[in-house]
Amino acid sequence: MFILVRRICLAVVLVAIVVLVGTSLPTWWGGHFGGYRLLAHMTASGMVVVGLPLYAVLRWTDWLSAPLPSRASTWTFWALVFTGFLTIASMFACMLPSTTTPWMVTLIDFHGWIGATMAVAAIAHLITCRRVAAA
Amino acid sequence: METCKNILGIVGLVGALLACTHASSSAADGSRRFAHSDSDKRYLHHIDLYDLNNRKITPDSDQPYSPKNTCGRCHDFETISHGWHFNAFRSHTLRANAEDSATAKSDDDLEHAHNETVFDGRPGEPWIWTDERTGTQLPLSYRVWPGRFNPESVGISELEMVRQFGGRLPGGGAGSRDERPQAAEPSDDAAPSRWELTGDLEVDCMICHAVSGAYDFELRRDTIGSENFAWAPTAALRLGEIEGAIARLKEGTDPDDPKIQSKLPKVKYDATRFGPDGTVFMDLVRHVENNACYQCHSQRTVTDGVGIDEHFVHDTDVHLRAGMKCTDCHRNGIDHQIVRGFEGEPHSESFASMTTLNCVGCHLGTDFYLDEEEAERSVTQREITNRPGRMGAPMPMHEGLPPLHFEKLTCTACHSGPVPTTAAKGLMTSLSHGLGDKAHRTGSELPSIRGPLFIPDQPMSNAHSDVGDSDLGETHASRVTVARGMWPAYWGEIRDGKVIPLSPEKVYAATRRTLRVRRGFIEEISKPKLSSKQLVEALGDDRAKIDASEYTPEETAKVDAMQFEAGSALFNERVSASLEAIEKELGIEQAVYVSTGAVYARAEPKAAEENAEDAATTDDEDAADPANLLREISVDNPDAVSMVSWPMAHNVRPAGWSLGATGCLECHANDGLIFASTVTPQGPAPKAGEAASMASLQGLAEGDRQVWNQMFGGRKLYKALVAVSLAVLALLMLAGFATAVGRSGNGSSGSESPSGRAA
Repeated sequence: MFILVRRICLAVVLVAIVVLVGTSLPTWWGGHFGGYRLLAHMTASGMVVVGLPLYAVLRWTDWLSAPLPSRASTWTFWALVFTGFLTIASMFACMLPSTTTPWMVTLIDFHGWIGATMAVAAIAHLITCRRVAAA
Repeated sequence: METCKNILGIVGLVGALLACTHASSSAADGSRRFAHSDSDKRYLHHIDLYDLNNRKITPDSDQPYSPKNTCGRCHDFETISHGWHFNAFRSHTLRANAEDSATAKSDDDLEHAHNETVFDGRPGEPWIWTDERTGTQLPLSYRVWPGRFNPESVGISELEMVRQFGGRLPGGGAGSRDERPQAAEPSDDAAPSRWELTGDLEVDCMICHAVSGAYDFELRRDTIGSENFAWAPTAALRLGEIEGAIARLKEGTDPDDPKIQSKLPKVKYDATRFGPDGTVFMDLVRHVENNACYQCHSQRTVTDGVGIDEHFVHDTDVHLRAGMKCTDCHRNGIDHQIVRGFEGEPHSESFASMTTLNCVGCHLGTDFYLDEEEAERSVTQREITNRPGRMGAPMPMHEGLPPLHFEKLTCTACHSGPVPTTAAKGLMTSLSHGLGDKAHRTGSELPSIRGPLFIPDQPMSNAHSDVGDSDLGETHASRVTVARGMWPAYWGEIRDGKVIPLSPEKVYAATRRTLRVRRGFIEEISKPKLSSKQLVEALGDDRAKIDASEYTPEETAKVDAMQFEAGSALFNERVSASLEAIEKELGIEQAVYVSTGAVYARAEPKAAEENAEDAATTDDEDAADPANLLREISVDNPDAVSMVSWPMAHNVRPAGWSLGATGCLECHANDGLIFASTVTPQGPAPKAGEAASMASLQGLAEGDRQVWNQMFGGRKLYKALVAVSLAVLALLMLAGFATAVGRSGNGSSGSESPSGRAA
């Protein structure tokens, strides 16, 4: 049961990351972030906010009792958790009514870069997990 | 010896030529040809006055003083007179000259064609030709701005424009003969030009530079109203009394007729204004005082059903409260190209620092919109004058405001204009409603201007086209700004499917007998005063006699409905008759009346006749539908009948009064004023247009907006969820780290531990 939930969580996070990257791509070339693209980005971010901690807790608690997967899988897991934390935190900071415009610009820039890194970590984690499963 | 003489002669000639060239080139900016005081102190002007013929004025003179011949002795009048305000009635001349130079075939042609740049910039308030008698509010401009009509294309002459609007024009442009378009050679039997009688409305330096109280704007307007254009500067300074009025002389009067010469206005100078040396003290300042600006740039708000809002409820612009003057930002050099203060306004290279004289420039710096790389390359890194904080401008933090807002909104959208309410209010401006004149205003006078509107800003124009053409220059990303708007109302004709306004003066002459309006189109036709009998019918005997202010809401609704019915019937009858009269008298195939976005034409003759017969033979009210006398038609140039808008920049409200100061939900809620407030098209016709929300004017679908609003509605909950999520992830990372440390402390290689591996 837990395995199913965990897999669903990972699937949700991965789908959300695909949406997040897809919707933010035009801004990498100076595009405008608004309208339905921003709406989709915000909806997907909600999926990550809920799905990532849930997946992380289930994954980690599972590892505490189960035989360990590969070293690579562990590294990518923590990379996903860490970059996910920073991505969510930078978004959260922007939502606070105390962040000034220059800070917000910096945070948004950081959010973009760390979000991209998170996407890479997520892909890497998926690949390493699948290798473990195949083995 | 002879050779030496020749060489010396050539050298002398070259030297003289160089000197002339140098003098003429430096004269353009007025820096060398004229003496300067070059001090911050005020220079006292005890000066001789000169008349139009360059004769010195004495207390015994009877001719008006000429600012050009008086001020122009020491100041570069030629350069000054082409400034922004003076060009208001000159843009068409410049444009024509620019076209001449573009099509010039020879050097000789080019010599005659000036090549001044025509840049009309951001759309401003139009000159609204208002005639209460014919229900006309026609937006005009010589500048090419959307929705405005070029007076020439409407058949309004420069003289008529100066007569109508000269009281709010500082002179120059079409008011001066040097600046008017070159007329074709007049034929011998042509009527003499009335300009010969009125004289020129010269650029009047004192209208702005006189100290507050030294210049009588009211008297100037009256003098211009009497068509004593050339006498206006003298009258306004109260240098003497003007006797006589050109307005009393008939059209076509010959100015060379000796009898007429004796009737021309004469000045009786006040001898006490002249010093012992014959000079007159001109009490003036270099930096123009706010009072001079208010003359043409004041505004009042009007609450529907109540009237003009009291003066004391209005707050001053925060910049003025901080001790600034209008000219601190709206400044100019000798060319008098006053800084208008909008983003993207071009300035000459030598005045590059003027680019910071707008909201963003002063408060955030010119690099604000640049990305990191561009900012590093930008001049701000090198030029101190391009940094924010000019004149002590505070730097706004905009805490919690996503930068996306700066791409979607202008600064003024949130910070400027009257405090917005659920519906746009009525607005009265100096230029359109003659604020400053002593009058009994109610707030319902034409033109009907509404605001604040939150609409996309319009592209700046540098085009050479009239209304209806789409050549409006380079477009830029449109942002929502705060603006005023009005719906044109005029009489026009249909030509090739397009509506074209007719000359208001011709329309008045043609419709006098059919419209039968003495004072106002609205109170006599669209909203006629109900008779006692009608009031009794609507309210009963007892309530019919009470004052309208004591009506209950139901009674008000009943009276309004009855007034609307009566007004509609009168409107149909008289407008239809007037359209017929215009068609006959002006030889037009199809005349129309435009108001509140609708175009009214006469009903098809057959339908109208049948309707009239029905009305005569039956008592059945439904059968005699008065609406059949008129019909609404569509035209191929809807821009000519739709809303005309222009942005407003003042008054700037304090930060705490800006939109969004209390958080996201102030705007991103279903009742957020920047989206949900409405504006109702209003004009002289009884039928008001349908109220439109600002969101619809911004092109936003209501459904989309509501989806967004729902997201903002749950923002607090989402923040809490994110906080929990971050806390869980943080705890997990700590736990993972602790486990890893613990495992490594136990000597584990980590081969069985995830944390150990991670460590």
